[in-house]
Amino acid sequence: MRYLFVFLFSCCSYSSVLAQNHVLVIHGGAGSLTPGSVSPGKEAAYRHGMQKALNAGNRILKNGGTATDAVVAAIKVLEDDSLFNAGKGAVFTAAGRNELDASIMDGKTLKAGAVAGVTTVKNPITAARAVMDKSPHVLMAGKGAELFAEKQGCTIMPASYFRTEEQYNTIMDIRRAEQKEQEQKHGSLRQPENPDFKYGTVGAVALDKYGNLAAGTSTGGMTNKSFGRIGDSPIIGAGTYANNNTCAISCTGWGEYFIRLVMAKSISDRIELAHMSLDDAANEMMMKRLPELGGDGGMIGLDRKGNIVNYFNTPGMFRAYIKWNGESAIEMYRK
Amino acid sequence: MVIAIHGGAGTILRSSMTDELQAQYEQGLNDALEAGYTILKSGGSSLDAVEQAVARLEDFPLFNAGKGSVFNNAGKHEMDASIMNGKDLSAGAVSGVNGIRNPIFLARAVMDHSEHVLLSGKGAEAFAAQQNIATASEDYFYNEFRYQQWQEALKEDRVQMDHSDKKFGTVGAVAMDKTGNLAAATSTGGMTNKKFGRVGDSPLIGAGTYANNHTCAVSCTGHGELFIRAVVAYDISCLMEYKGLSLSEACAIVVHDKLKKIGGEGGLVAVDSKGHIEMPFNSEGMYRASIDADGKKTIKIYKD
Repeated sequence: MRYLFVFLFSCCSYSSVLAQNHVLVIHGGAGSLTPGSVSPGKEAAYRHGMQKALNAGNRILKNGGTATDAVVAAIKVLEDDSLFNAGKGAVFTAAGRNELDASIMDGKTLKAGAVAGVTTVKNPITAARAVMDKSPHVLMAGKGAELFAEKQGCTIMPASYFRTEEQYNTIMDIRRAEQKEQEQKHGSLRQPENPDFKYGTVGAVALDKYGNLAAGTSTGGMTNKSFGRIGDSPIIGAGTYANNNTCAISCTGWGEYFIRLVMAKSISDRIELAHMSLDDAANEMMMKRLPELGGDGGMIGLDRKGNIVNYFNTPGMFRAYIKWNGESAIEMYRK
Repeated sequence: MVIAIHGGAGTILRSSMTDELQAQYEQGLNDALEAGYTILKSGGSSLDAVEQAVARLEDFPLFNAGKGSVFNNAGKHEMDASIMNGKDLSAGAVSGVNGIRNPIFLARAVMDHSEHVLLSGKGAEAFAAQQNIATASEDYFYNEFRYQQWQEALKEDRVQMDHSDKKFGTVGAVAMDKTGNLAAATSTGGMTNKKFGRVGDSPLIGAGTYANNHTCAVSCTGHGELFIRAVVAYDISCLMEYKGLSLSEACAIVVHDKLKKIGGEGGLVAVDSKGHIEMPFNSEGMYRASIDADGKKTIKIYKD
């Protein structure tokens, strides 16, 4: 009898929790994307990549998995897809390496994990997850982070795995251009003249059936970056933030500006402290504050009611979402 | 014009403090405070004042930053620093640098002479060489006391906060100059015996350091991981900007309520655009000093 009671009780509470609708939103970076700038074949490949990421994350949400698990699953797919600048397909640093950053945050507990400047981890988002779940730390960098990831069972790959011809050619083009104006500007970095993405970064935000939010971001950084440059992606509050009381945010863009504006947390705080809607908060930060300071890029956001926003002040951004009722969209250009 | 500095927060017990040692700490704080204040008095910027004050704290061997940095697991000194200008929200930071005499000078160079905000490790050191930032040998950073701390931590295979008691060794400064501009700077040697390239809140804009002329300038010291998750320095600014709280109200909420709830021990120094100073902490003590708008100097270690 007692067991029956417990069973009935848990059924009731479970079903009431399940009333929550789940949502997954992803992005694959913002950039100078305009209709016609990408070949139809490549456009289809981008769409296919985003669809696969949506499927991977949505499957988890549908089966009652957590927002954190869904975010990791979706980002892993994007990292494995060499079209996006994260994991395989990451851009090259000035030293000709692929240096990866990633972070994740759980909106329920405000726990977070991140890695910066790792070169051997197949899926940096899994390393960020391990930092969150299995270390007392939030951020680990470089060799130490790689060592930790390996110890935690993250898949390690040789440098050749991350190298794709397209990304390699981009750095060689930049090198050639640079030789001409060498030594003019110390510590200077150029935006990649890649028509597809100016700011290659991938990210995901999710709302699960239990009403919990999570956010994650992963990137190969900026082409030709040097001096161990770290952008906003591995920084909690800048490129990634999640809080059940407000929203989950993942950013992509000129990282330095997103750090200075503490972009992701700023949107959250506008909701929490100034009682703005997610849409108003994101609009103000992305379309006013960011350009005022001279930066550009994009973001995706999701609140606990399932409201979705995406803002970018670049011509385009790879973005997609899927809702509990199957409603879904995949977009690249400005509407 | 006002300035406030800190040399770390934590369990600072009177029982383990001698009069002589306390006098040394106070002297270290006073020297750094005066170095920053002298710049402000002569019409210098708050940015220069916090940079110089932090550099003096880095030079002082008893604080865990620069010369007095703790040993990491590999027996090295891995330092982090950051600086932010409240006038234009420009910022610079370095993490995991080795052999840099004053990491705060390197953070300033990142802000002034690179297109980046945060540089790390070997790359940051290469940038330092390009910028002619002074380096120092292992000998310069060697300190018998720190070495013994590390040996003890190694033996027990534990990561240790600064000192054998629970102390968060970090130094920092905030200031407002004659023209009303705010700035903040923070520097640290991290945690004794730390592994895995752990990065704390000190080099992270928004977490350990933040400055905005519209609100306040903040430099934190404490349990870095929790300060990162709570984005502490920026949180103070947001509570002022979006909720209209005073600096003192915002500090009280963040340090004594929000941080306490998640077990985030530590403290911070802050100044607002009207020149108010706050130096709250939820640990036993915090090495701190300030000179307020009336020129009144305060140097304190314990709660009272």
